[in-house]
Amino acid sequence: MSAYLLIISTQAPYHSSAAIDAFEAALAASNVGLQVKILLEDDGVYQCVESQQAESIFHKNTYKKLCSLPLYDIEDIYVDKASIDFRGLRITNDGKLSYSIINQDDVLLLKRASQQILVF
Amino acid sequence: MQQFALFVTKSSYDSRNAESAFAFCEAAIALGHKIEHVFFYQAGVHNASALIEVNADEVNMKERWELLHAKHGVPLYVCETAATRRGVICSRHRVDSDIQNMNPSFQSVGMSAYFAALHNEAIKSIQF
Repeated sequence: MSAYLLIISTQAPYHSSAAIDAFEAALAASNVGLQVKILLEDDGVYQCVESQQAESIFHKNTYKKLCSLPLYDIEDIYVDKASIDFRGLRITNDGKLSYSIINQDDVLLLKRASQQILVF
Repeated sequence: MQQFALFVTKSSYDSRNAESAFAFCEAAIALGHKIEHVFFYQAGVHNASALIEVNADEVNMKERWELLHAKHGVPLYVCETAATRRGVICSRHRVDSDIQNMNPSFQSVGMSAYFAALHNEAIKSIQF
């Protein structure tokens, strides 16, 4: 497997600027040719809830931003299954956002195989 | 010799991350390693404010970063977008006035300055 930067996004989409900061870091890294993978973990799994109504709080929709990642050559998005289960989330994938839900063993492998990690 | 790129995301007063990053720099340099640069992102950009004042008996991160830059030539990069959003402004963002508050030991750059260095797989990225 070629070297990649793993960006771990651990915060809910509108709790702080962290989710957007992670998104912008991913774009910047991809822009200079690094291979980037994204892992949504802990409260970060809320970012892939499709039914976000960000406009009601005057923010940009984080889910839609994630959907745009393939345009920036970022196609590997992973979601931690344990984080989903712990929060009792039911995530329905409408097909607009392509991601893989992975178990804790695969999360560990993803982290171990990465060249660099940034956590937001 | 190992090469390191540091990524600081917390302000100097609200957490100990900046102090830890600085201590890491000092220890690494003392052992003959190289700090390629320290990059400040998110609330870490507050480290670059020239207006920070602390009490005389408190840790002065402003002086420490200035010393690191002056003594060892370590580049202190600040994410331009993150800094502007937080009111840490360098002169080239203020064409209409002389107002600026970025410490001249720091340099305003794009995020790509950090990530471009990571093409060199010998460089280890450490986040504080």
